[in-house]
Amino acid sequence: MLVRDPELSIAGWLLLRNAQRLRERAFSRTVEALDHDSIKFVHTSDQIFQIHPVEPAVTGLMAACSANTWSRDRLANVPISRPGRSALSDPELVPMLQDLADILAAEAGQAFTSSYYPGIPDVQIPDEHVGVVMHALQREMDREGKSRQRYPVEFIDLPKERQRALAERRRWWFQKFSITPERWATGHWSVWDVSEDEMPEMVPI
Amino acid sequence: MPQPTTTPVRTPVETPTVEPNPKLLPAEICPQQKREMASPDVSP
Repeated sequence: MLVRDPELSIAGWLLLRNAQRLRERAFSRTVEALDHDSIKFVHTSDQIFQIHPVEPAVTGLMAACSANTWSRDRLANVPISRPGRSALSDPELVPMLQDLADILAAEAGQAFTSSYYPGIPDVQIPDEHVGVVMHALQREMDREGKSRQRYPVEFIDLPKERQRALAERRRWWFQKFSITPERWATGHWSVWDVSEDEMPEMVPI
Repeated sequence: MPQPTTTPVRTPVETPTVEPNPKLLPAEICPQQKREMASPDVSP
């Protein structure tokens, strides 16, 4: 990433540069500031946590945060979303979940462009929820299409099996970021439960 | 034997076609809009 995401602190930007796995990357995005021997997080920026890392790496910093009961707890309870920026916009994922947003956008694009786009056998989603997900994905595309004066892709035009595959993949990726349907209802996710997989190749970083 | 005559052939001039504006894909929207498109108000 050559240009810093304006939502990312300078410390987070530097850490993200050296973070390979989804969990390390999610952690990096939570870092608001690093001081001599303390750390602040984006979602609890009024609190300072003393840490004592022994390894000069993202993983070392994570271990130090895990060793502090209070910082460990804060990283286990990060909000999933924040309100829309205006009355016309919808709630959005918090910036710490930008990787999830990028992955889901890539998945949504591949549903239209890939020659092969299978679902996830272990994920079961009722038909009506597939429709709800397609409608939700379309909202932002319609809004952006209007502002750019271009027709957006229409999720409802996808074959039914691709709509289902996209909804299943969406749930699967949310789960990779610790957000199961049950966890989603709490409104919070945990850095510690994010998958240690690497970023998928379909998302350029 | 008479030589075969060749008729000059005029190459048809192709009318340039106007490419339709391709539809907007999710990958083209900005990071903040991708966070909105993820629709965190809808259960996974």
